[in-house]
Amino acid sequence: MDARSITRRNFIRMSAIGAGCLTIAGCWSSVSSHRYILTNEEAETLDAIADQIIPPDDFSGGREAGVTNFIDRQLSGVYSEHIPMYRACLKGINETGIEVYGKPFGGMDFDTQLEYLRAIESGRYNDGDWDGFTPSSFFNTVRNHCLQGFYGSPRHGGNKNYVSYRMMRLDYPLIIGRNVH
Amino acid sequence: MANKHVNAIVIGSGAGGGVAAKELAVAGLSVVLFERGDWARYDEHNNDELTSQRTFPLGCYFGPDNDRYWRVAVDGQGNERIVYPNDWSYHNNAACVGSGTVSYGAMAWRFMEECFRFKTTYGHVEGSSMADWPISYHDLEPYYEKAEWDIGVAGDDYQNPFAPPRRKPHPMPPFKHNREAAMLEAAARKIGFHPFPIPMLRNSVPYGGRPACIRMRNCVGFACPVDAKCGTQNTVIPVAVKTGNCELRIKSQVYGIMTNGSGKVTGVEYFDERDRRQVQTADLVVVAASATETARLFLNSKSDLHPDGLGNRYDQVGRNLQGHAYCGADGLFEEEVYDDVGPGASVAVGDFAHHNPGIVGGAMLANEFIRMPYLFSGVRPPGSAGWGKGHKDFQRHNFKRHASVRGPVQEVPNPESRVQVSETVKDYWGIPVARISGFKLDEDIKTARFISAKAEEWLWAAGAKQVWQSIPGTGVSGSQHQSGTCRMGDDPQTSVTNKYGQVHGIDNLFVADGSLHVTNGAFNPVLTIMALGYWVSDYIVKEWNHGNRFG
Repeated sequence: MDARSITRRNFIRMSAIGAGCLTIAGCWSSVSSHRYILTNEEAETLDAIADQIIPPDDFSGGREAGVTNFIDRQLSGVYSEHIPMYRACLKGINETGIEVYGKPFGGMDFDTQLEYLRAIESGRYNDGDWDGFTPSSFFNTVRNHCLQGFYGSPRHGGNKNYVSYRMMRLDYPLIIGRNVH
Repeated sequence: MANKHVNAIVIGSGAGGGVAAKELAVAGLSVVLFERGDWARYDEHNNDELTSQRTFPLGCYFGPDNDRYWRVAVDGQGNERIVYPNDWSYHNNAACVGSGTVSYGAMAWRFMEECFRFKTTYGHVEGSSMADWPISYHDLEPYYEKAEWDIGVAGDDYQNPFAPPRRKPHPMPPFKHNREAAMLEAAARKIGFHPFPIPMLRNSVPYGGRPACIRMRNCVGFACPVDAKCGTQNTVIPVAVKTGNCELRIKSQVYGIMTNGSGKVTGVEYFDERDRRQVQTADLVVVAASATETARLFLNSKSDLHPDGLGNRYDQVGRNLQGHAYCGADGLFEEEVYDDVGPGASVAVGDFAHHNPGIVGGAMLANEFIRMPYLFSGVRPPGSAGWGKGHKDFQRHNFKRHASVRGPVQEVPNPESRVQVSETVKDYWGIPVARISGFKLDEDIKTARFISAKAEEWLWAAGAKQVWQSIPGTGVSGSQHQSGTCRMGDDPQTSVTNKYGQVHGIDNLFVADGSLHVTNGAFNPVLTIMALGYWVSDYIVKEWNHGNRFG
């Protein structure tokens, strides 16, 4: 194919081959319940945190968008150094939650979770023993990872069905209406 | 099997190296062009923001990888930390065929005449290593022109009253503004600024056998799916290879430059794709590995005659590391200003690049490239929610109501911002890694405050309902605009090369990348690096054709 003769149709076809899954069926197999690193209990706690970082409204929150799946996958790869922190702090957040609020994080109502997370972010529990990890640092890391999982490409296991793109009214796949040929 | 001796080795296939390889090969020299990375492919990277060149928490698709590459970063308190390419403190550029020119935003600026005479224009600044370039804008002008026509630039500098003189127009017409840029263009005129379309190394019309730009939103930080962006990988490097004189040797990590008993360069040592030590000999070597890696290679190439590394007799290699003190302002608008016509940046003003009263230097100001969703999640006015409902609502409501104006403040060079090699940390192959330390001078921050205020003024004039400035921190600059570490000059005691990029005292060793920059301009540097690639090569070829073998 000559470089000058790229038509919009050809381009989308090329992109589809490249992306592997721009079609509808089977596209989101990456967002599955299969886990690499996190236990069910850890994943449930992380789901609840993800829904606080990005709360559901008429668009999915972090949980439904697959943020936990995203983080789990990265922990098995590029974020493997963070495994000990996630292990310790997902346990710590529940233990401190039980001490202070009488419930593990996932068992609290939404507003209590919010209040608790704000306190963690502000450093109020930094004296606590979360196996040597600083609760406010953990919060900062998990917040960043949640935003990556929600706003990044679905190829990494989050942003299910491009929910954040749809929320921001960014069309997908790219190129529609853009091709001038 | 031993590699066949060649006339020239070029190390690094980015803006400077790609050009040098082509010029030397076309002139008839046999060339090996070394690139440590692989070819980057749009279809492989696709539209993945998290591994792009703008935001890379999950790694840098355009290289290098985290498994074999790391550096030592030194903070303001002197604490050392090992950093990987996907950490901003690594100051990554790229590692693939074409290097940064594959995924760049492709602004194609010529530096202004004053950028080459920074010290003469502004005088000495305390704590700095301020100097003029040994060449003038007029020396480089024909080579800027060559870069523009050879590689391809769309623009119209005649609309910019501050543009330096030129003999020929750009080869392609400028891009049309999207909604945001059109709004900013009108606002600039209203307040007496002089807006014009940004020159771009990107096809506004078919050029060089490649199609015109399709105005995608994800351009800066990504490869182009239709090859409308002009990098060395789709322009000069294919030409070089086609001559039959140039071999592009990818996935090959050069780690040492060899010298003989008289101190001349004889070739390079490198690790091939399978980590085997290899040797390539040549009559001359051109290093274009980026300001960090060029300096590291020189410092790691020690011998009896060069005990402190190549070109380093006066402890100049690696010093004067510069990037840009990026600054600007963000604005929010009542109405939507976003129309999804990429890549975004297209309107600029040159009013504040130089001659700002009481200020050293300045910057051009331009509207920003489109912010991708994850990057935008970090764009908030001070005091905004960093998560939760407020954060999500902001993302949803303001993504299409946001505009940003930014500028690359030309830094005052200082000798303490530098690349060294670590005494303790070695890379995957056992070679000492780069150690980056330093700071910006107060003068740079002062200039940035001035420029940010102008950006703010521009956004208010455009009708923004809220505006906030961003001022850079005092940490060392580098990253994708890294420069200055082997600067050119007439005095060997204060520079590394002469005005032709020839290392003082080593006639067959040349530099052809941003390392040569004495100061880094009030503009994105890539076209200047390309022009220097032509400038240095032109000198080599002329000498070669006169029989000079630099021995």
